[in-house]
Amino acid sequence: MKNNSGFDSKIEKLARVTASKTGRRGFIGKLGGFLVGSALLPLLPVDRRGRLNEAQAATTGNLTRSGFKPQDKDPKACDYWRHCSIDGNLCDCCGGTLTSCPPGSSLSPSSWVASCYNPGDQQTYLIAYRDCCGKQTCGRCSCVNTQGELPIYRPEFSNDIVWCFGADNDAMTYHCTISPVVGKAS
Amino acid sequence: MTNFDHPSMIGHSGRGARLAGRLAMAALLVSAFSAQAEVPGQLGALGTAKLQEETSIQKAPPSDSKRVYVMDPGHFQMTSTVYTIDGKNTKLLGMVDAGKLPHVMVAGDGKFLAVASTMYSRVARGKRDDYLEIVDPQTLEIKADIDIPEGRFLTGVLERLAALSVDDKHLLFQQFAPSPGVGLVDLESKSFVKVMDVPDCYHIFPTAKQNFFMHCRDGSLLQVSYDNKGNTKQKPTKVFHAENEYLLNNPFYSNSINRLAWPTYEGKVFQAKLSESGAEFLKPIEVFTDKEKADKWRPGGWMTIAYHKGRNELYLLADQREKWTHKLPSRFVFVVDATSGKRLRKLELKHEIDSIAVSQDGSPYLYAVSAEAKSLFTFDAVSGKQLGTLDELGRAPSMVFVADK
Repeated sequence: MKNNSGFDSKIEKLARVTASKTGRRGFIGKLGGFLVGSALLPLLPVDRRGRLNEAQAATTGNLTRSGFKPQDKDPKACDYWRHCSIDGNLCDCCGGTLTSCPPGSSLSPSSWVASCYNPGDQQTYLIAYRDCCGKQTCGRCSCVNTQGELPIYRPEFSNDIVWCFGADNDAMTYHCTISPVVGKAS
Repeated sequence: MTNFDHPSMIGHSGRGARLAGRLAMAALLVSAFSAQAEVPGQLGALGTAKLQEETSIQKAPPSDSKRVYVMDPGHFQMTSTVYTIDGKNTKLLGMVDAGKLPHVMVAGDGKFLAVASTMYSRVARGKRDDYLEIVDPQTLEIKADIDIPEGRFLTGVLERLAALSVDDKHLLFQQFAPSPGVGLVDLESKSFVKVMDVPDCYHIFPTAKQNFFMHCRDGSLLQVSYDNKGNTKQKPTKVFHAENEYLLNNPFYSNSINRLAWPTYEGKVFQAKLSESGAEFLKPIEVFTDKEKADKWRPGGWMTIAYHKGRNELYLLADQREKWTHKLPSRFVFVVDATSGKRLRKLELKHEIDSIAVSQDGSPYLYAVSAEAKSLFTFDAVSGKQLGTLDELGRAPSMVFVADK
């Protein structure tokens, strides 16, 4: 049999001090409360959409019912300020950039617009959402933002339309969307 | 497998006979290549072995008031799927293929399904082809395939950008480019008639005697009457909502009673009874109390409103949300009397729901679709009790349809 080590002595001392200061029922009650609380925590009505999306794809910053909260650091995230009214796939995640289409697609000269607030310089800009067309839907970085988005009877502010009007070869097929600045919003 | 010693060649001689034989052979070759029922000969006996059990192709039961269709456009993908479901037991009956961003319409009595589609000859490029298919609700076979001009308005799938006439004899579809128009299709002759010029107006709400209404950007409706050749007479109604009372993109409209119910982003529901005589606008309903508005209750989702004719009840899909989140799903349905606006029920669905519909029978079911869960949930529309779930419905199911009668 081994001799008592210093570690064992410290643990024994800690246990005796704890026992002398803590009622058994109180300790068990607190332990039980902790365990029950831990078990119930996942059942609380929190919005898990973001977590689910994170688990399923690389897309981050998806809109929740608590509203659009823009950031100015990551243009590949749905909450990047320029994407405040985008509905579709970010071309930046599909082989393009914020302002250029992926190879092989064609850029539409028409778009819907929205006013987006840039928290970096605290200015509001008019953004033109131009669709890149002529290919199957990209599918990556899928975002649905609706800041200032209007019904289809106001088409210039509606993000539900396939905005491929005027694209090469009349291909009304949606691939992804870029978010170039038109100018400062007045 | 082609038999070159076909009986048609036996007993003949001479050039004429040889020519006839060659023609017959050519015909056989063509039929061999075109006949889909042919089984490759190299499969051998095992590949076509006689079975002990009988096999068959299922036939769905006749469409009834609880037949429901769920449409999955896969967001903006090139192909879509229409799931055919028996709502009584939330059982999948079969599927119908569709192209890019289709319009799905159920005949008033459920006797057929109309699907307007767009396809391209080379996946997402090449020649565009728009067409309309009429589908049998039991066999799910295509009963008619009608070519239409390549002008169907392609949007994230919306209700009423195409519509059957109230007698199901015509189909009307909206054109956005190169100019606003409504395409007229004669379903009896299975032929396209004409694109009728209209001003900058949207959605199609048919009434009797070859009339339909559209909603225009100034907040009025436009009444259009048309003859069999597509000649129109048009007149606007009064402006019935303010410019800043934004109407959600998917209204409720019944072809059988011509009732229109249309919620705003803030939960005010405009209603109208439409007829060939004009539009009768009803007193708008505020679904939420002042306190609920202060607590940020707003409608939201994709198809946010339904109506039960027999009970005169409006169903509004809603949740607590900030402004400008109107397309995100909701977890609650508010039920109000469609005349007085009195609150009748508040149903908690406990799922993130994008679209709802209500069956029109005496014991109505509430159908709720979740794109995120890729599921249809069925509820008792009165008690709110969940009755069934159908999962694995494609990529992003976003619309749900029931028969109007």
